[in-house]
Amino acid sequence: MSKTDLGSSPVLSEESEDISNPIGERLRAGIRQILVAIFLLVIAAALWELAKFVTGTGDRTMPHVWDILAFLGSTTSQNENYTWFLVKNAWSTAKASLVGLLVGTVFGLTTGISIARSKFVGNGLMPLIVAAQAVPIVAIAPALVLWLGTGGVTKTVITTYLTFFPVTVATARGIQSVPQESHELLQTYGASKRTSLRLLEIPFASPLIFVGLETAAAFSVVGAIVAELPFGSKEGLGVVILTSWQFYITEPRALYCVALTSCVLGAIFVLSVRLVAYFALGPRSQGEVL
Amino acid sequence: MAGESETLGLHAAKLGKRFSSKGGDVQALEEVDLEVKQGGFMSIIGPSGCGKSTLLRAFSDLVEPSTGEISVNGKMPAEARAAREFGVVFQSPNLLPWRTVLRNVTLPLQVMGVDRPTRNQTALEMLELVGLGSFARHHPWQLSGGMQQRVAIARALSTNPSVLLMDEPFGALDEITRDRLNLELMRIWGQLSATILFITHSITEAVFLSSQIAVMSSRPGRITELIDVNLPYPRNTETRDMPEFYELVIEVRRALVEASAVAS
Repeated sequence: MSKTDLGSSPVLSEESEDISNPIGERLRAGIRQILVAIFLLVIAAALWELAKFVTGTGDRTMPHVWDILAFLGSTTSQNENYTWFLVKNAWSTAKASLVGLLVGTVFGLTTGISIARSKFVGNGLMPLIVAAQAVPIVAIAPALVLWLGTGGVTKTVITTYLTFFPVTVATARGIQSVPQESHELLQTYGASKRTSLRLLEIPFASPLIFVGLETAAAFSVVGAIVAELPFGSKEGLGVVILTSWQFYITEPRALYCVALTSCVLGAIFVLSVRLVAYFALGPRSQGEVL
Repeated sequence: MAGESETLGLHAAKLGKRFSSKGGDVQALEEVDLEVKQGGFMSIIGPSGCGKSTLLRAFSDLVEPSTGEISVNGKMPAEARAAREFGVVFQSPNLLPWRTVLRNVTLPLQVMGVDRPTRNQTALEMLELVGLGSFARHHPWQLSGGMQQRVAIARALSTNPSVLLMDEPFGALDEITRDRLNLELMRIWGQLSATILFITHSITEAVFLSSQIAVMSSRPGRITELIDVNLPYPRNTETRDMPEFYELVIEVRRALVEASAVAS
């Protein structure tokens, strides 16, 4: 039994003391999930080949899956393994994403808490935040580069901008849904607002906050790549995407390799958040990382 | 100021509470006079919406009275709360699902700033008292409704309060579980000699537990009758078979019928 959600769990008899979720079962469930994931990837590759075959698209526009994968083993003009080249650039993007995600999380938690705490702040701030999310990031990115330069600050600002919103909404909604009776419980102990936040509101909201964090994690990678795209960065997946696109006529496979790498990086970020959630939430997590 | 023995326990004098809402004002409580002596067990029984819960919430400082005076062990409810004079047990167990049973019981102590070893030890003692010592490491969802409510009682007792305010604590439980928990509560009360204010819908429960029963009418919420329950303590399963028990049940039922007649 890897799924232990609150509502449907069997009630133990008075005598029973068993809390069963043995390591072996969890491991088997994990392996099963990985197999399903691999199976879905194979399906995706098959669909790609099917679409290529049915529409009769040429190798230049849609290279074969195996050709794309084979290109990962090639060597760059700097005499470097192409996979290693991608990993290095992905690492640079990952660092920027992580910084943005952390700053965005802190910012999102703070905003979410203030929105939940004060109707006044919530009513005034929430529409502004939603409106800000409607601004396409690509539209304001050039202005940010003019103000802040092409360095890490711009990357952080853009990724923070993309990541704080889901965290804000999840935090605010999570805290707002704390039952009145739980508030009253803490009230009868004379708990301060700070204590209530620490012992009741944050723990209560944390499953929802982690859902927000998952979305934010995916956005953080998108944000970092967008920030690297046109603005004179020297490394990062955004830069590789741009150069691969420019040299698409001579080597179409490179673009698909870096796209694939971006997907993998996004997946690593989301899965890492789920892993943290799995350990942080204990029996309240869905019990599954994948 | 009167002597200390007179100020201990629960007191309400000419207590009134009016709620204002869009649909008009509701007089939840009117001119309620109530006294629960130290170590007494008072049940309040009345139809739904008669203000019994409001009365208890006034004692537990969750509701501010509109008029009249109210005291817990001679203190205003807010002061009494600060001095940990009372513990509250709600209708639902109100446990925090992410905390283990033990850490649910330590919650009030944690808010007070008691250090971890002390609060764990106290909580374990309280869990032993309610017969759940071996469930300390479980999570609430692994316990039945009755067990969860016992955890809630242990939690209310963990600060060692001299007054226990219980708002229909067994209302959501089945008859068999409720009877068993009534026995448990009598045993615990015998060990602690706390003052208890107990809200209930059940006539037999009120008669079985209380030393005195206050019958309330609704709209406005008033105490219409006080019935002394002169059944011997300690009460046990035989108590329910005594003829006096049945006489009292009939008397309380009559008082309730009269109370609702007053209301309509």
